[in-house]
Formats: sequence, structure tokens, C-alpha cells
Amino acid sequence: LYGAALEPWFRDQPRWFRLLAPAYIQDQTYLSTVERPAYRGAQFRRYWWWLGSTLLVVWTGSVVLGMTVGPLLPDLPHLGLVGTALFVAMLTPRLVTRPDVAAAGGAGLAALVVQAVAPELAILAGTAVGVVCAVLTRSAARAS
Amino acid sequence: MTPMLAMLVLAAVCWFMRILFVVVIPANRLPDPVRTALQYLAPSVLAALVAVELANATSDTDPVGAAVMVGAILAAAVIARRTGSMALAIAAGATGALVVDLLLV
Repeated sequence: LYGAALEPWFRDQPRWFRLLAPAYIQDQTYLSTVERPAYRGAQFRRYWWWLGSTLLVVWTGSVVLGMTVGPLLPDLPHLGLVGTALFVAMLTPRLVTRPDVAAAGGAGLAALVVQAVAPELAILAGTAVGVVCAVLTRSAARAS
Repeated sequence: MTPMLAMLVLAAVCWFMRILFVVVIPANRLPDPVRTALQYLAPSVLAALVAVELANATSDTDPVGAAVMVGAILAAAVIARRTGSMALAIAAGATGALVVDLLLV
């Protein structure tokens, strides 16, 4: 789905780029790119390689650092809350329109419900419900 | 199947999934309602991630610890909304985690 959402950025790119560059598609690259709708052509190619390569190095380096330094730190089982705060910081600026809020509310609630039944599907199901809520809210707003 | 072969197959599948809507079936050929829906993917994914991560984080703590963590995430949301600073929002989350793990144990 991220590929589908990013397709406009890849549409007019050379074939080699369209075949190779999607390997970098993931949460962070998707979220960073959708904030830059004007990036196209060579500018997007430069941005994408720098973003993806930097993320690759930082990600891998962070894993190595964590495995090296982790044993020296006190037990911090809830440090994952830092990641949750990061997602929140990425989410809140996107809650601009009513469909955006409906998407977030629907996704969060659905994810919690599905989490109790089938945890491995919670994020996927939450996302799907959020998108449906947003589309319905948008349709209702246009009809009124 | 050797572990190396399994990793190569997984990498190939991941790559194919990524190029599916870029090269194989470009998204501009998808129906309009589907393309409209795609613009709501980001808030939906992020909200689902936040809900699941927060539920997991609070599931093994006492009510006070859970309240601190929920409060930290709410504070992160307010900070991100008011200041636009990702670093400050992350600091709020880190503070919540450290309070729970170092002070409330």
C-alpha cells in the first residue's frame, strides 16, 4: 500500500529507478516523502537515495549500538515508549481535517479491539478500518 | 530450505510487494476511490501503531505505571501539536519510560 501511495513520485522516473528504489519503501521513507509533494524527477531521486541510505546506515548502526551498549544499561523494559512518542509526533500534525481525525480514531480503536483477539493483525486491521472511516466521513461531508 | 535461501526468498517477496503498485500495476490505474483512500493511509497506520504499542507497553504494569505512560504519550501529542518539535515529543516519551522503569519499580 505504501508503494501505491508513493507511485506518483516514481511515475516518471527511469525504469531502473522504479525497479530498484522501491526496496527502500518503509514507514519512515513513506512518511517523509508524503511531506514533500513537490519533489519529482532527479530531485526526488537524490532525496530518495539520501533518505534511504541514511536510514539504512542509522538503523543498522543503531542496532549494533543497542546490542553493544544495552547490556551496560539498567533494565528499561518500557523504553519502547520512545518509539510510541515518535509515532505520536508524526501523527498529530497530520490531524488537520475531519477525515484525518476519523482515520486516526477509527484505526486506533479498531487496532485495540483486534489486538485482543488476533494481535498479529491489529495494525493491519486498524489501518484498514481507519481508511474506511476517513472515506465515509469525507463522503458524508460532501453529501451534506 | 537453508536459512540463507529462506532469507533470499523473503527478500525477493518483499521487493516484489514494494514494486507491485509502482511497476507491475501502477497506482494511477487503480480506481479513483482507492486512490482517494490512499491519502488517509498515513494517519491510519500511525494511529494503529500508537494504539498497539501503548497497549503493549501498559499491559504488564500496575495502574500507576500505565497512567504515567499514557500521560507521557498525551504530553508528547500536545507538545508535537503546539511546538512541532519531534525531539521534545520523544523526550516526553523517554521521560515517561524512565519514570516507570527507574522510579516506580
